[in-house]
Amino acid sequence: MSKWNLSSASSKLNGEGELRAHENRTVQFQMINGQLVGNARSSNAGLSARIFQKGAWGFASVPEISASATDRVLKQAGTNASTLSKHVALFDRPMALANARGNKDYTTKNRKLSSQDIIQFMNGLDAKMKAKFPDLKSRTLMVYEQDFEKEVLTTGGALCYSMLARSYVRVYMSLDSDNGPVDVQQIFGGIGQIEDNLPSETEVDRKLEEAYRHLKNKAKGVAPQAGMKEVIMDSKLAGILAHEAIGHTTEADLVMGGSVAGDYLGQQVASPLVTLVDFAHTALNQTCPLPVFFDDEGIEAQDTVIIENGVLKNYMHSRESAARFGHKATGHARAWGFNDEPLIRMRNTAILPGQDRLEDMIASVEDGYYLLDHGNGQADSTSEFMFGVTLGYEIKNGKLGRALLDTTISGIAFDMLKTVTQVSNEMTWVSSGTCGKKQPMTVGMGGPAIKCQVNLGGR
Amino acid sequence: MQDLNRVAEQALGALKKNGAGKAHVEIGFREVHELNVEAGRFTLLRTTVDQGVSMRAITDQKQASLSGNQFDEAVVGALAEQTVITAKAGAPDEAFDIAPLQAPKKFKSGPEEADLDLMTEQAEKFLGETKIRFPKIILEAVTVQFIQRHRVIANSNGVHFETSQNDFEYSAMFTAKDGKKTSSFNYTGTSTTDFATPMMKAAGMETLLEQSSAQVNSRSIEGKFVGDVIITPHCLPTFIGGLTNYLHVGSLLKGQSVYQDKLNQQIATKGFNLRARPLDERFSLPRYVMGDGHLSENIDIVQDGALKTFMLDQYGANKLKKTRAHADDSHHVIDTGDVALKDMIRSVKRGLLFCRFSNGSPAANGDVSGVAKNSFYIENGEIRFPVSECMVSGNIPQMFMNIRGISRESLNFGTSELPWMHVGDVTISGK
Repeated sequence: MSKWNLSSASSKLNGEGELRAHENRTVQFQMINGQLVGNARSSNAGLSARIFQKGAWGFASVPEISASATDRVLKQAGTNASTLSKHVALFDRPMALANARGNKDYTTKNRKLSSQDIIQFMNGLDAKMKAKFPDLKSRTLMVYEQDFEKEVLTTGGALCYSMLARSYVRVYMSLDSDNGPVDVQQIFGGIGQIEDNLPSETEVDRKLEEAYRHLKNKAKGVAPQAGMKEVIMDSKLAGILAHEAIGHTTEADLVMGGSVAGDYLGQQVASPLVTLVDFAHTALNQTCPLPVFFDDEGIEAQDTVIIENGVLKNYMHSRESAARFGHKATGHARAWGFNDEPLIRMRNTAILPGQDRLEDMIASVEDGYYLLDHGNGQADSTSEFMFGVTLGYEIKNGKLGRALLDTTISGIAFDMLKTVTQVSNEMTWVSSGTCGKKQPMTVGMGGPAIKCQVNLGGR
Repeated sequence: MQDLNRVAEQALGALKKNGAGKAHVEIGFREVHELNVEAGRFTLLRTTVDQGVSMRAITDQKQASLSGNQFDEAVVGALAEQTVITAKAGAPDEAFDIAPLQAPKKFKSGPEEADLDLMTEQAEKFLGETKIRFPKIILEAVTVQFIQRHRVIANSNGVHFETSQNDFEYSAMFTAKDGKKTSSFNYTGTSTTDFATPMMKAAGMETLLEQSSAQVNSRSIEGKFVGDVIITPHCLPTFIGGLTNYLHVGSLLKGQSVYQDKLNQQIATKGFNLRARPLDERFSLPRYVMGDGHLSENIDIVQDGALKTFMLDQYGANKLKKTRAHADDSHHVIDTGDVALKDMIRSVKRGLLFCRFSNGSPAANGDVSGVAKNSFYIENGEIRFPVSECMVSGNIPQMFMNIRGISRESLNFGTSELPWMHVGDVTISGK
């Protein structure tokens, strides 16, 4: 339930625009080799207004949420829009009516944990790792939570309150090897506050054993051969592929900025096995990892099918870009902090699962690689993508071989997706990453395993 | 703007009242006037105001840091109380400490007021000139800002510093398009106190726009070879960050820094000098006070190829029983060398003019790979063509040991000044 009651300001909001009360909160703990080195909390709150006049937007924000702050931000945003409108061409095509209404609250219903409770959990987890895996060179644990509480009021009648939270436990472990230190990570958590996401002992045991097994293999790992290779990208990589390689190129602001996807609408850009959707809040009958029910322009969030059976179908839009393209606005405009304006952002982007079994896919590769986990990633207007690969194995004659040292893969997405020959029948989501585009943003990424050709960095 | 000194006093008082043995506070205010261009046209004018109060309390050698952005006395008091409660919940570490007493000081830099007319005029000139001289370029996003910043840093040892620093900052991100042919995006930007130089003439903007226009006709290299790269000033920060990352407490505390025991030893080719120059007059935005409350000094990180300091703050130095750095890891300067850029290019038998690196995070051992973006293939001393789908793999510590030359020319980005650097023996692979 909103503590700000923005609806009382509706009579002050004239013309085309929105008012947003917004507070971000974080909690973060870090432990290295049993020593607590990070113990921090933060809160950042304020009010913003954005006004549209004759083709120009004016925005203003202050670190205060009150009736007088409302007057100040509305006045300044209006002045800014009016000033800038003298330097732009008139744009008066009507934008979608922003009239979503709703209330979504992910505040935990469990007993709130104190800092002491969380540090105790971390001490237990660290002690367990030290005892079970005594040869580790280093153990790093992070527990963190991000809360995003917002209320949006628009001239179209939207009034949307949300308190979305995500929280994670990240575990990094490293070993010495002939190639220097090698490391792997394991992540627990997702939507909700820390109280909802601390993993059970069984889950911890299972996932840490698995991570340690990979780490031991990686300590004896080899660099892959550089160049074009046949690979099986496991689901986590398919997720980042969906986000980085395709998703960004189909954001309408990047399309207007020259993205190659601007030339491909309605064309075959991928194998017919590939369907890619940016889900709003529910995917395949399950709640998405980071559900978005309405955006920060007050538009109800709806799924956007980007590629259907290999054909590029849609871009992602703000209200303004949708009006410029003559397309439908489906709720992609989101802002990170109270002093940020809404930008076109992905929500939960995924390649849909297919019909193949992962084991059969691996067995079908004569000489290639099975890529399991990723680090950072980057997109380009050409659709050339790059992601770090932090875990992978050789495939020789259909069987998994030696582990790989960290590497990078790249390709031109709209070429590479045409090389997809198999898509697995299961999918997984990841949600702990943060997308960067002027502002940071929380995003979900999902997918099945896919078989395709990519360029590998290596020796 | 509220009186930041009053808020600092309240915060320190509240921390002590709640039982903090040692207390450090930083109070900040920031106002930004920002002009935005998307797809070559003005879209948005923003005025944003923010403020912040950060508190660090140490009690029984247990520490916590909390921050907020509300200055009401009651809110500051509650934040102080929570900071001490959170610290008490922490774990003791003898290394936690605050900066010692230093003589109070006030610092000021940059112009007093935003000049929106000047910002608009410079931006309009830039848009107009780009349209005429570089017709293939789409200015995807241009941001022009005037930023006012005020900070008060104080602690219970009597430290009290005030800084007021204003500057203009701008950046442009762009792509070239010719029919259906598209270049990779590229970007650059800088900071200035007077905004006298046209945007086209600073931070290598003109060169990058020219390069992007040519890059619509990029092509891939056949096969794989070991060759040379000339890393441009725009691309160098990736590698500087790769090097200095090993000098921070995180990497050293885990015992996995490749430079763990390398102080005063050779970690780069002789003649290579990397410095942190927070007080350098060349820079429009000096950094007078470090994050941990010590006054900044200009320091040498690598001198004539030898490592001169780890980049440790007070905690890191105490924890690792090493000397702390007297500057934060910013305001980098690499000394220029004695080779003209054109001669440097002439000396490359086979390699790349390496202009942007889209890379994976380096592995713990320094291995790194990624895509060479906006880059050009060099053969027999001549730039041949812009490349696409080209990967570069190497090892960052080894690359600094394989420096073949440093250019006479350099670029100033407002908070760093960097030359072109010629590095040998990296793996370059095409399709």
